[in-house]
Amino acid sequence: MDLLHNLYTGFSVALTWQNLLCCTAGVFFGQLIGILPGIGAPTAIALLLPLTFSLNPTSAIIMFAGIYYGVAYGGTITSVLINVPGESSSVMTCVDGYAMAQKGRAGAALSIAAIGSFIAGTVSIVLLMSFAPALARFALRFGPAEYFGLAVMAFGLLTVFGSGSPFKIFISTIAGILISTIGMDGVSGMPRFTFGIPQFLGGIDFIVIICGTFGLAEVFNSIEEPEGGVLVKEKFKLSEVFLTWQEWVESRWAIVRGGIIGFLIGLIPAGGLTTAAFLAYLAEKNASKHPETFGKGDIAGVAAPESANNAASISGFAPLLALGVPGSATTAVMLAGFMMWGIRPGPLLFKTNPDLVWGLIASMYIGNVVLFLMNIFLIPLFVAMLRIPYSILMGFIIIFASIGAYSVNNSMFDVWMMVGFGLLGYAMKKLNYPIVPLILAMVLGNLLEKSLRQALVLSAGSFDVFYTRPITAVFLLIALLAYCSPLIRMALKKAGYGKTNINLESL
Amino acid sequence: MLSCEIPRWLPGGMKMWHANIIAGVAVFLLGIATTVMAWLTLPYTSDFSPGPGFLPLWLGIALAVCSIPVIITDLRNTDRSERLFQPETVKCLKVLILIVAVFLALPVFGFSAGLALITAGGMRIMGKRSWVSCAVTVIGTAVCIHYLFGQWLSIPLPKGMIGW
Repeated sequence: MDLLHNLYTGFSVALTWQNLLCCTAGVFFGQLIGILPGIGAPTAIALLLPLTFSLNPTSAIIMFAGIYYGVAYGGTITSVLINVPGESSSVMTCVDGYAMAQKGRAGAALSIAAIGSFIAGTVSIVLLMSFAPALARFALRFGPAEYFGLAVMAFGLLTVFGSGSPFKIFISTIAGILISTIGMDGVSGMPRFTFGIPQFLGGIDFIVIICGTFGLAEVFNSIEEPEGGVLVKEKFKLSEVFLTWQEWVESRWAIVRGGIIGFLIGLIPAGGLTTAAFLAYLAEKNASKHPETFGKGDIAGVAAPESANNAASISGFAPLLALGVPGSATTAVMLAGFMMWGIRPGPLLFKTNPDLVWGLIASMYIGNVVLFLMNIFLIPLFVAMLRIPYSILMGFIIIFASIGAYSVNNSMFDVWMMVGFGLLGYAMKKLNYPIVPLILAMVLGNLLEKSLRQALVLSAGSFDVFYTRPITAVFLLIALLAYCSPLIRMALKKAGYGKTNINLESL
Repeated sequence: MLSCEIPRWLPGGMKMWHANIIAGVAVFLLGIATTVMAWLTLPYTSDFSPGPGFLPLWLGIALAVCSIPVIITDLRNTDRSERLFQPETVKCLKVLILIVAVFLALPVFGFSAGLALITAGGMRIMGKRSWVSCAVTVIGTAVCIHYLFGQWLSIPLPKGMIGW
């Protein structure tokens, strides 16, 4: 009954004109951002965040959430039509989606992606409604030691789900935590690493760093390595989006499996949409009676990752809302947004701001319906957006990044910091140092240090608190396994496990 | 497709391998510097808990330690052919110079006109647009930024000599 009552409250918030408009605008922009190269969901939200001061927090969060799961839909279009993933979460869709397009079934690929995303997204919202409050009630038992363990575990999971050198992931994570220490120490009031610069006393604002590393850096990277591809079809007909009965039969269980995998991966801090899509594709291929068809235009190869990435985008809100721990760069930026409005996500959010939480959840139902309809009827419009030259898009990104950085403190110092972080982000990408751990670590760094110090105060300086409290001990054990995961992977590889046979020739 | 070569004055010969080594060493030195600064300037402990220097000290040590395997891996890497910069990197540099020059000249142009100049200049650098389309872009973009951000969203953008 509580659930129904909360949902009623949520819909009464979500169905106001302002929130409906924000939801529709969010999913439309999200879809557009998913299509356009060089802009991702974290960038878009970071660039828009400073400009939403005048909106009420609920409306702004509803819009940003719409952007987040809208992006998952939008990235499919470029994956299928030009073999270039609009978002990293749509990489796996390129494999079979483009092959289907080459066989003249682009419409069916886009259609099953929309249907799968809608079904999996809707189920994910239902599960989120049940799971998030339960997670929040569980998190009420958390003390400083548990939060410390949770932060350490979140950093460790970056190693499991990240790609590339684990030491480079560690370096990015450590650098992020170090950046979070710049400024006045909250406990002692001593300035740290300010070098006598008064603007550093308040620390470096998260928005400035995001505008630089995701905005400006992406501009430089996109200029240097422009993505391009051959459009499979110049003109798109509405009649081509309908599936055959056989295609529906072949893909229905892929949607179910992909949705479950996506929901579970999205719950894990640092899980992410890309991991969810990748694992769903592998699981579907393993479950298929004809795995040899994967990579050659199997519709299940589109349905599974697309269902997974949308389900993960929804369930990713569970750790953010219930624990205050972001699961991805996008939710990390949203966490910065919450803090900007003076709202602290965590177990008490369901009690202190029920309108915001349930309004957000209810808006996801609405947003999913809007996205489904957009993807069935407006695909020719979105395809036309592919023709916007990057030389024009680039200007918009620089404008939004500069104004976004300036508007934080109305200071040109922040704009120069944004340029500096833009160069840092460019260099990091060039040298294969991942940026997402840097961003997540910056957001969680203060939580990590504050929790550590509070836990040691409460335990009178004894480190026993980190292994005598069972929840903390479990988190730290998972973190230890996660940090050792590269060694475990090497051992499994030597033993002959963990081989994948994805046909990436179409990429 | 590659319309320009790497100019001689850019370290075009620099290989990715060189850059990775330099980056690894830079991270190592950053780690050492952080450790030393934390040790010398910040208290390690306080009355009841770790002090403000506790975490930075250990982070500095961790940074230095993690950089060592990265440096060793790069030194052992036998594939040293990949270049750091591509011919398209010149365009990045031009865009960066444009951004820095305009921001330095903001007291003259103001934020709205300055960003409009960056947009038009970027179009010219990237897409070889005509001067006419760039001029139209400057005027249109400056007007949009001024009214959208300066007036409607009330962000107090720095003004230049023209009042925008």
